[in-house]
Amino acid sequence: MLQALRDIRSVKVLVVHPKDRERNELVDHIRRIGCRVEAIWPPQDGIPPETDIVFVLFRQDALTTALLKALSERSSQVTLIGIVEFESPGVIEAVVRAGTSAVITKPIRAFGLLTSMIVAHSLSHKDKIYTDRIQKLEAKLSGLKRLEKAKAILMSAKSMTEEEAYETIRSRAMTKRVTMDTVCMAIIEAKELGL
Amino acid sequence: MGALFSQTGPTAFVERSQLNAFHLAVEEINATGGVAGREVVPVTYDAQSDPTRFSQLAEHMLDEDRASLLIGCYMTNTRQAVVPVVERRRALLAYAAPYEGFEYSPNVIYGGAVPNQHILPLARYLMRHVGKRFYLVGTRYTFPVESNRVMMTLVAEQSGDVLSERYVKLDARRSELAQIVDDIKKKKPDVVFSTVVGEAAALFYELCRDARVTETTTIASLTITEAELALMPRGLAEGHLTAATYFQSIDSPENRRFVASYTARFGAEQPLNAMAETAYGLTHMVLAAVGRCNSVEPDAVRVELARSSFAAPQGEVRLDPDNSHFYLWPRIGRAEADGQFRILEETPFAVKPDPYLINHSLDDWDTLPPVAPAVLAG
Repeated sequence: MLQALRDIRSVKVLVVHPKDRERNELVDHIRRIGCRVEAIWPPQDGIPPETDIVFVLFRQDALTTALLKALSERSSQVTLIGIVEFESPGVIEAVVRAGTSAVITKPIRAFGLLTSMIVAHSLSHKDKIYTDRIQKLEAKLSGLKRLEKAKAILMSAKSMTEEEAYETIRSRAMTKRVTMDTVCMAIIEAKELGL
Repeated sequence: MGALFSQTGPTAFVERSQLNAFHLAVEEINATGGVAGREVVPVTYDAQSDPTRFSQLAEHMLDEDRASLLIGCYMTNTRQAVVPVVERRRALLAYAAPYEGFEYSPNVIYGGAVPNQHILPLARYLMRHVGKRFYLVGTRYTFPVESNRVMMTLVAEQSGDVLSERYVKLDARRSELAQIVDDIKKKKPDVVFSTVVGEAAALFYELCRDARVTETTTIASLTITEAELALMPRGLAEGHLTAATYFQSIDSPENRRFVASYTARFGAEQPLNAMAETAYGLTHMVLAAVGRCNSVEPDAVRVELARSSFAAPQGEVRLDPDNSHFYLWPRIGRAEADGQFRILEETPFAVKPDPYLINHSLDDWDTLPPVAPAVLAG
């Protein structure tokens, strides 16, 4: 079974929406689905820790803007589901720029909420996996670039072959118990200092 | 009150029993003064087991016949066809059948069992007393597919095996079913979990008997009720197990009264079943709530329904206002040669509905108090 489906009852949800009948229905249905849920209004900068999914009513006001900024700067990923009451280009742009994974529309109805939550959660999970992978690949790529550079320095300064340069860096990393990248950075640093 | 049931079509034999039970309840209510002093007038047409017709009739009853509220639907696709109609008109539908869950409309009161009230107890009984090698066969629509998903999760959890998952059309032909029965004969499962509904169910049993499948295999179901047994030659499904919230054989004063009134009104050859009992109880409860709050507005009726319980033929039932489904009494019954079920097991209390439960687990069920020994002996 899909991970997001299996895990749905361990999900913690925050609803950012004015207190009214529609919000009550949304909160009741999230509870019916079996998630822990909290509702707040007006929007605040901070959100409770361990929040997995946030429903945010997209209003073009300063508080909403501040909340969305806080969400985007948050280190641990939250899944954002937009609640839309107007389809103006401004709202649509804000929805996209905020990194929204799903949208529900007003008037809010129970039917479709579970699907939106699962789709959004899966998408943002996938997004997180990709982001992590890209970060790792970027780190690896710059590591490779540094290795090439360090090898070139050794080859020209010490007249080593490429294999000898590589072996020197590797054995140095082994004896010093550091990564090869650390050794490479030291070599590049030394060269830049003109040593 | 509009009643949406089929009098013709492949599911008519079940829906006729629901319609009868509805009429019986309305007559009882009118005999004791009606709803807040007003007579209840039933409105009904033949919905012909056709979802499009269900939705057209729902519109007609609400708009033309001025029905205040509706009861009915059996298969999921018929309910789904009616839900938008009642939602647009802010009307109430009382749904009187077990189904697969995952629905909440503020305009529907769900009277039947959801998977945690029927599949879970059945899976538990089967894997304790019969075996863990399962063969799944059903009619191709939402309820069987979703029921099989839950059953597969539970079988896997108990380290059992699902040998095959097969589906047939609602009007399945003999050859189609025969090929499945051949495969069952070959694979020799401990259990065939059947969600074949409609008239094909009788045909399936006949083929199983002819192939002597039942000598090594137990057939279990959620949808074989007294009404299905009545369509089969006597004794054909003997030994078959069904999980349901009601059997005609329940020995309680409320049920004895219900069975006596029903057979007096419609004849002893008319079988009762869980769907009829649900229609009967739901009609009584919903109309009583309408009378108490003097409104047919869905929210008002739901709030009123949650305020009191009802001594239904299956036991004391009440609405769970969180999800608009009912606390019900799951039971396991064994089909006997006389067309009735012998109750093998029942819960000692009404089980809370959990229509949005995705991850079913028998561990949850096993933390419930043990089954009353007196009931097991029955």
